[in-house]
Amino acid sequence: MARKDPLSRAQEIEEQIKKLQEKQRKYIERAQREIGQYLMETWDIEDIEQAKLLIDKFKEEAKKYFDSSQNTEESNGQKTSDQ
Amino acid sequence: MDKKRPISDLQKRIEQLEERKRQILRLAKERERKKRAHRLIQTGALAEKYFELEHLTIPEREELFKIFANYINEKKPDKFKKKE
Repeated sequence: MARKDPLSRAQEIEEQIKKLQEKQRKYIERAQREIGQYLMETWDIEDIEQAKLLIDKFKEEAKKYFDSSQNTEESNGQKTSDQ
Repeated sequence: MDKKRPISDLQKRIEQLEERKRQILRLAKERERKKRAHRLIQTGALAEKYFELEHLTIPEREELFKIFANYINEKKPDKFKKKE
């Protein structure tokens, strides 16, 4: 197969970048829409500012949750590699 | 729970592709620059050989070229003329 010239290759990459950017944009839109909807339904909240207040209230807890699960995974990984 | 980062993962992939694109264009530019430099050296060597310029300085060579430039450009056969 003939090797493509650099400009065509760069153009192909640019198209891939655009597709990924579009995918990323759609994902963000979907995440925001679904997470917002899920939060409103499960916490029975309608007011945006109240929702933000509650999110802020549990922010640290969520952070700790991910930090601790990450630490657990790291220590498990360490144990496995020690064996 | 392992923290999933689909948005950041996509971002990383985008940045990798952007870097790859920059690299391809950089290499192409470098290759083009080398080809041009090689062409200029060859042209200079041919000019020295056919016009016996070895003993002339660069300003003298330019002066000589200027004297004949118009004449040569007007008289050169069509096949050597720049294609529009």
